[in-house]
Amino acid sequence: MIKQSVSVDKLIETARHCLKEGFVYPVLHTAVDYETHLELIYILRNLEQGDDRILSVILDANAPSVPSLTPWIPGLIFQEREVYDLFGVSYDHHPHLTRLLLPDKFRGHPLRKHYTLAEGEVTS
Amino acid sequence: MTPNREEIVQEELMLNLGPQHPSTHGVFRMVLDLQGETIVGVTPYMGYLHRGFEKLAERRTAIQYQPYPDRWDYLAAMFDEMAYIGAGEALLGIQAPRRAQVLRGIVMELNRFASHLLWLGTFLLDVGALSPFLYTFREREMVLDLLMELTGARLTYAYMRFGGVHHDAEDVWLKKVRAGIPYFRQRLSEYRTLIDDNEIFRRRVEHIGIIDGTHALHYGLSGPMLRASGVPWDLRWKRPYGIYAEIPPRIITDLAGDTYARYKVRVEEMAVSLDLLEIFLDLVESGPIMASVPKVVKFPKQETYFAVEGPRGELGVYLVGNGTAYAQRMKIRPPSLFNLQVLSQLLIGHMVSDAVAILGSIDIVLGEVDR
Repeated sequence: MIKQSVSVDKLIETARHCLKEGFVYPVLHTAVDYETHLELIYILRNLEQGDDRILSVILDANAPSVPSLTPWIPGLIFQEREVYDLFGVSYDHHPHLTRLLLPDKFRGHPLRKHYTLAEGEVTS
Repeated sequence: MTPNREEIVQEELMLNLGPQHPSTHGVFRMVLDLQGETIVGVTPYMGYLHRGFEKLAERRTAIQYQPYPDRWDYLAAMFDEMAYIGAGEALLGIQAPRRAQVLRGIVMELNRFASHLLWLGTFLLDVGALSPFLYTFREREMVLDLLMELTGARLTYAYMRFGGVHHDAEDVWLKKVRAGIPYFRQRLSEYRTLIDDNEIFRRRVEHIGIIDGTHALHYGLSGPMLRASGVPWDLRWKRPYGIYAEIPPRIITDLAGDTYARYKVRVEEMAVSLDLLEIFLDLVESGPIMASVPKVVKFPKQETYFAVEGPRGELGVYLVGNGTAYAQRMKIRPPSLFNLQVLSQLLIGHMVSDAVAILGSIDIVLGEVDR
């Protein structure tokens, strides 16, 4: 598995390049919180060769924002919603960016390291 | 006086299905927009069973977390354990001894068979056949009895450990498993005689919920959903782990991509599971069941992705270590969640009664979707 670092502005370009090379199968998309920064992980697979490719995008921890890849990789729709829900990363041009697992009125993003229970009380 | 056709007001009806609906297999909720009986819009809602297992992995040590994966997909807990343990072993550089590898293969195929039996029963219940449910549960209970004898639990086994398995299998137990296989095989062929060419069943499930191979790929479908659309991808042989590397490939595919194809793929996979069990039982040899593992397990500062072919598809774990006993991040790839992404494509244009059959054919387990 090759891990490739990509900057935010090059993400769409790189992803489209991967698609052209046959890496069309979305295996996984998630974020890792390192407190100083967030790392977004995209694992794409080429089923004919059986290869995986990992794209890694470093984001600012305070206001993470990234273009959505769903127009090119529709299999990321729920995954991007999940990362938005649990990490607070906002995806530009996502067709339906709402919380996936937690209630809509939930406050905070629990998979962030600085998250505390008091922050995340459900408000009615 | 009869009104003009144009004068009849047609409205869309919103129908809420779930989360406490027997046909949604747990706590899945979807809102259907209906025009008459035809579905024109689908909005899925999930998260009712969210228990924060990914956060828990950051707050528990690696050893403490070992029994938690059982609770992700409670119908096929062995696969969850294998995914987590496999990812951990890859990070730690531990390899389980051969006897443990074979035992893992045996319990996983038993578990796959049990999981597919439950699916078969409930799927037929969805399309209106009540009695198969009773028969498949009878057989499933026998498999669960076998697993209980080995591990002490019916569903949440906590059987696998970093570096091996927790309990050794007695020869008596292995003999019981071997004796059970011809019985299960016979029952399976009995089901197929009753169901495969049943006209009512086929008219309920054929040519509905079709997804083609290209779409299936782009949406990240896996398992029987993907293979029923003609893509021969099975991690057991495409990315062999453990004992599967030694087994000749037997990937079941179907080209139709409809609900009936998904039924056929799963049923044939049950037969493959029984064949694999026989092969694994021949491979059992005496030896240790645990490798030497340090008392305190610390994940190194690395990351890994490890996936197994569960009954529902590719169940993977992306694990990031940070040099402590706690994980920096543990992400589960739940196959049911990916498979649910195509729900609206599958449902739109069909009748409400088909919606239940199509949802049943996706085989979702909400414990895994919501985690």
